Amino acid sequence: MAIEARHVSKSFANYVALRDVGLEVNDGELMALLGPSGSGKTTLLRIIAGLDTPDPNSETVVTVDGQDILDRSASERRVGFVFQHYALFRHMTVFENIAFGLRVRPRKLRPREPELRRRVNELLDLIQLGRWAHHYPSQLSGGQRQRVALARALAIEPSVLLLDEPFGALDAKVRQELRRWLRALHAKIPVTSVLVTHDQEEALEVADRIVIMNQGRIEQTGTPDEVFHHPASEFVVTFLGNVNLFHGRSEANGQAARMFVRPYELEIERNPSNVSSVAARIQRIQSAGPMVRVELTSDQYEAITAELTHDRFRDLSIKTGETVFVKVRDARVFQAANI
Amino acid sequence: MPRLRPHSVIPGFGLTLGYTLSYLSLIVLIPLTALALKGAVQPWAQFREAVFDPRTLAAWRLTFGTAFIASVINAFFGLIVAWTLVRYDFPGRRILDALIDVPFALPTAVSGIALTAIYSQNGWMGRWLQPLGIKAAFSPLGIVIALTFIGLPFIVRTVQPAVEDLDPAIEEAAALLGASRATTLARVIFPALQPALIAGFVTAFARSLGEYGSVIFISGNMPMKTEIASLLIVTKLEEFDYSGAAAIALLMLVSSFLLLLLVNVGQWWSTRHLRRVA
Amino acid sequence: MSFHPHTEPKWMRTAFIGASIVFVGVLILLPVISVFTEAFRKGVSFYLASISDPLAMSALRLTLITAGVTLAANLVFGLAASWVIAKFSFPGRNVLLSLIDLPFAVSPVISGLVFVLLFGAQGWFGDSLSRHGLQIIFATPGVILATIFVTFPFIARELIPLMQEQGAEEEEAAVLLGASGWQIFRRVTLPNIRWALVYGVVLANARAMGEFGAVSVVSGHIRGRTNTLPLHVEILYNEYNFSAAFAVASLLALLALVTLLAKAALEWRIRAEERPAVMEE
Repeated sequence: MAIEARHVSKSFANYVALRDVGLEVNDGELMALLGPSGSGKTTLLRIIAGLDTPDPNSETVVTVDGQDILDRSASERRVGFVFQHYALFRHMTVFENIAFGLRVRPRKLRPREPELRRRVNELLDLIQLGRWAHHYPSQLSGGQRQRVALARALAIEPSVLLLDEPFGALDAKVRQELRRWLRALHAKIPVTSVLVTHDQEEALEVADRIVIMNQGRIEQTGTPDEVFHHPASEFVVTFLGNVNLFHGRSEANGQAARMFVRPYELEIERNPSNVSSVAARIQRIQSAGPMVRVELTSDQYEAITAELTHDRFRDLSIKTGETVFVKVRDARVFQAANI
Repeated sequence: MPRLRPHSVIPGFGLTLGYTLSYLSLIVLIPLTALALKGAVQPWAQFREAVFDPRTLAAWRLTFGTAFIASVINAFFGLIVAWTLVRYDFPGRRILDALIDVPFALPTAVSGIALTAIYSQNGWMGRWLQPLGIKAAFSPLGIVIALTFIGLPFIVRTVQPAVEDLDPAIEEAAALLGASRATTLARVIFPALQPALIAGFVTAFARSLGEYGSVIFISGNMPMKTEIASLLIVTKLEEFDYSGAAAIALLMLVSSFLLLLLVNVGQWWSTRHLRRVA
Repeated sequence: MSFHPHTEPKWMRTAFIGASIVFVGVLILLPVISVFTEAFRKGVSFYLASISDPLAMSALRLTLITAGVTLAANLVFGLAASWVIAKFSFPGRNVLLSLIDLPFAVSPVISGLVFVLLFGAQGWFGDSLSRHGLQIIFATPGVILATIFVTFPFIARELIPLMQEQGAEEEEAAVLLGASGWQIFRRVTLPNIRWALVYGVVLANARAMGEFGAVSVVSGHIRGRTNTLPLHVEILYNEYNFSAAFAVASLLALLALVTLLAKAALEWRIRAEERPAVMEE
C-alpha cells in the first residue's frame, strides 16, 4: 500500500517541525527517514500514524493506498507502529501482547480462539521467540522485546509499518543483528515500511530508499547509492559519513566554493604528481581497522583525514612525522548558492 | 519521561476532565467558597470581635505555641529517628519503622483517649511525672505531647527519603579531604537534609494547627487555658454563631496556606543556585 | 538501607539508636498497648458486651456504610483525575494537582464546618432543604459528605505519580492497535496500577472509618442514628464509661493495625514489581 504525503507542515509552541514537506513511498518499499534530532522525521512519522495532526491547510494530503487517512483516527488507520522504547504491555505475556490487536477487534472481525492462537504462534515462529511465549517483557532482553513489538504490530495485518528509531535503545552489536534481521523479515513480509533513524549507517544498510531531512525540510530523496555518491547538498554529504572540507574558488565563475572529499577519495603520494597535489605532514596513523586512517596537516588545513587500503599503506611505507603529498581523486563541489 | 501532547490520541480527555472538575467543585470549591464568603462577608466589627476577643486570642496563642513546640521536638527527634532507620541495622528496626506510621493510621479519637489514659495522674507515664510536680494531662504540656504524637510521621517520612538519597561519594570525599565524622555530619550532611527537614517541620506544624481529635481529650478544654482553636470553632457552631466560627476557621485556613506557600517558595529559593549551575 | 564505611563512632550510634527506640517506644508504642489493656480492664465478658451493645452495632453499621459509599465515590474520582493528569498535558494541570491536595491542608473541624455552612439550618441551602424535607446535616448524608471531603485525595495521590512515571506509551500503542478507550483502560492501564490502587483504597478506608473531627461537627451525635464508631467512643468516654470506650476503640485500633500490615505487604509487592528481571539472550 503506497503512502503519499504532500504539503505537510507542523509547528509546535516554540518551533517549526515540518515545512511544507512531501513524500512518496512505493508499495512494499522500506523507506528510511534520516536526519539529526529536530529534523522533523519523527513528527512526520507520527502524522502518518495519526498520533499528531498536521497544521490545517487545504493543500495538505496524506493518503495510504490512494485513500485519504487524515480524517481517520489513529485507531482506525490500521498502521503498525513500533516505538523506540517498545511500549510493550508490561503486565501481559509475550503471547498476549502479540494477540492484543486481534482481541480488541469488534466481535464481527475478531478471529476465533483457535485461529487467533494459530496466527500468534506463526508470528512467534517468525520472530523466533516461540519459547518465550508465556514470559513477561521484563524477563526479555532489549533485542527480544523489540522483536515482540514488531510481531505485535504485524499481528493486525497493517497496511503500513512505521518504526520510530526502533533500535535506538539497544547496544551496538544487537543493533547490527536486528538490522539484518529486519531486512530479512521485510523480504518475507513486504509491508510498506517507513523507518525513522538518526543513524546513517543504519539507513544506508537497511533502506530501499532514503529521505534525508534537516530542520523540517527534505534535503534529498534517493537510493542509498544515490544519496551517498551523488549528494544533493552540503548537509547530505556531511551527514552521511566522514568528509574533508576544502575551500576554494570555482574555476568556472570565480565564486567561492566548498569542496567535499571523502577520506578514501584522497590519494597519498611520495612525490607530487600534478599541480593540485598538496604537501602535508602526517600526524597520526591508525592501522587497526578495515582501512588505514591517516591524519595529516597542511599549511592551509589543520585536519585532513585520508583512508588507504592496507595494501596501499604497505606499498607506501609512510611514517608519522613524514611529509607527503595529498591528491583529490573525486569530490563534490558546492557553491555558495547550493549551501 | 515520555513527551505528552496536549490533545493526545488517547481517548477520554473530555470525560475525565469534566468529571474531575465537577467533583472538585462540588466537594471542595463550593464548600470552601461558602466558608470564605461567610467568614469574610460580615461587618468588620463583628469579625474583629470574633477573632480578637480574649478567649479567641488565648486559643490562638495556645494553638500556635503548642504546635510550634511540638514540631521543634519532632524536628530534633525525627531527624535522629530517620537517620537511625536508614543508616543503622539493629534488632527491631523493622518494628520501629512500622511504628512510625501508627499516628497516620490510628483514628484520632483512639489516640486521644489512649494518650489521656497514659498521661493522667495514675497513668503509666503520669505517675512518674506527678512527683516531679509536672502535670501532663489537662495542661498545655498534654497538648504538646499529643501534637508530637501526631506530627512525628510527617517529619520522619519526609526526611527518610532525603537520607536515602544522600550520595555516599560526598561523605567519602569529605573524609578523604580530612574532615572528622562530626564535621562531615554538621557541614556536609546536615545542610543536605535541611530542605527536607524544613518541609517536614512546616507540614507537621500546619497539621498540628488544625488537629482536633487527639487533643480534645488530653487538654481538658478549659477556656482561656487549654482550649485550642479548633475546639473554639466547634463551640461557636454549637452556639449557632456561624459567622464567628467561619471567621476563626478562615484565619486558620489562611495561615495553613501561607505556611505551605512559604515552604514551596523556600524550597524553590534554596535550590535556585542548583538550577543555575545545571 | 545503606551502610557506609565511614560511619559514626560507636557511642554516637548507640546513643542514636537508644534515643530513637525510647522516643518512639514511649510516644507511640505505649498508647497502642494501652488501648488494649484499658479495653480488657474489666474482663473479657465486659469487653464483649461493650462491642456487641446495640448502640455500638449501629455505630459500626454507619461507619461501614460511610466507608463503603466514600470509597466508591473517591475511587471513581481517583481514577478519572489520575487519568487526565497523567496521560495528558493541558494548561492548569498544576493548579488541578494542588486542588486535589487541598483537604490535607484543611483542619478536620473546618472540613465539617464548610458543610454545615452549606446545608445547616442557617446555611445557604438550609431553607430549600427543609422545605423538601431533606436533611443533610445531623444525618447520614452529611456524615458521608464530610468523609468524602477528607478522604478523596488519598486514592488520586497514590495513582498520579505512578501513572506519570509509567507514561502514556503503552496506551498510545494500544490505540494504534485499534483498542477503544474502555478496552485500553481495562486491559492496559488497570493491570499496571492495581497495587497502587489497592494501596490507596486501604489508606483511604483507614481514614474514612477513623475520621473524627469532621464527622463530629456534622453529625449532631444522635445516638443510634448519626454516630460513627469514633463518635461512639467519644460519647462513652464523656460518660466516664472508660472501659467500654476503650473496648470500642480497640476495634478501631485493630483496623489500624490491619491497615498497617496491608500497607507493608503492598509496599513490598509494589517494590518487587518494579525490580526488572532481565535475562540475557
